[in-house]
Amino acid sequence: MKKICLFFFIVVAPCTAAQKKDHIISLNGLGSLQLGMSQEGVEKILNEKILLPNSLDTINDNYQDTAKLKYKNIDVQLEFNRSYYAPYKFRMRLIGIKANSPLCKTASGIGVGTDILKIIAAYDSLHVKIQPGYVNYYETEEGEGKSTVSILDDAASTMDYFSDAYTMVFFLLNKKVISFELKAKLKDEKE
Amino acid sequence: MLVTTTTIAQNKDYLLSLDGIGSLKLGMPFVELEKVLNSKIILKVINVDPVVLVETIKVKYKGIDVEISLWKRQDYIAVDGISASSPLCKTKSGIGIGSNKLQIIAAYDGYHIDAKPLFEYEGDNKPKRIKTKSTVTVKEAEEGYAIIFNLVNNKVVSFDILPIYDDEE
Repeated sequence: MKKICLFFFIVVAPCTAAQKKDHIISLNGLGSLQLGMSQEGVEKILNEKILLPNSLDTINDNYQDTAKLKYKNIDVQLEFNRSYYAPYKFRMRLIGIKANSPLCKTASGIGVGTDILKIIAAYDSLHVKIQPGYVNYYETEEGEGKSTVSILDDAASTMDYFSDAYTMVFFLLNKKVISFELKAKLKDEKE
Repeated sequence: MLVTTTTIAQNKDYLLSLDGIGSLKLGMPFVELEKVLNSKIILKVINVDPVVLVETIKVKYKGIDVEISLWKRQDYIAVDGISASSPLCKTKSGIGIGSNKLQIIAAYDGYHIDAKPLFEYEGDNKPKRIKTKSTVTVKEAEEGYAIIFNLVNNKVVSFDILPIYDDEE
């Protein structure tokens, strides 16, 4: 019995902790996927090449592109944005992460299934926006029981364009989280 | 019986909603406002300075202090904002002075709610959160009439009723 316990503490417990770390949601990202990372940085973490057709199209000004991928065994949708760091030179940077896995949780335990009032209490000092329907940029998907709760950091709240601004968005059905999105508005790399 | 009727009438007079307090309503023409307040108001800016179209006046409404913003439209002057801090004013669900953020959010299920801290700017021009002060804005739609509850240490201390449009946020 003692040996089994020892095995648990030496092998199983650290693995679980590492897995949890991989799926921690914060305003800055999900585990090691951090908003603001370059496409190359993301490819290293995912250990695969990401195809972003819009990034190759420099004639039509398609600045953004998304890719559906696997990160640590969960489905994620990643959004990239073209970021110019010199005249006519750009790289694609990660500006959005969307997922709905119950494995993903914030440090305080907020994730799929969490009640709206728990989110508000957990982010008491930050800017919290509650909107009916699922709000996606300028479009809203309306429907019974659908709502969106956004947590804005200080830069996003004050629209401080000289800093990177981060927003954590929870999509709820009947006041319970069903999915989330992490978004960044990054300052220009040239500055 | 008489006391109950009077209390209800008083409550109705101080009923806080997205379009006003009791019979004080946003958009109300100035002449109507004078009738509700039962007094003649002398404007010191609008009608004096032809360029300025807005003016804030301090008045008494049913015994409570109220600040009213006026806006001169093309052919008439109308109420464009109402502010007060009287504990007599309450929403239908009982939200008023002393209520907290979670109570407001729970009372306005299905509304657009914006609960945010206030910020101050110092020398470096970076926003710094004021820990004790916040506001909770409640709207029926993305744009339109709103109540802004002003909170200190998570308790409502005053409120403003005004129209909010997207580019103002």
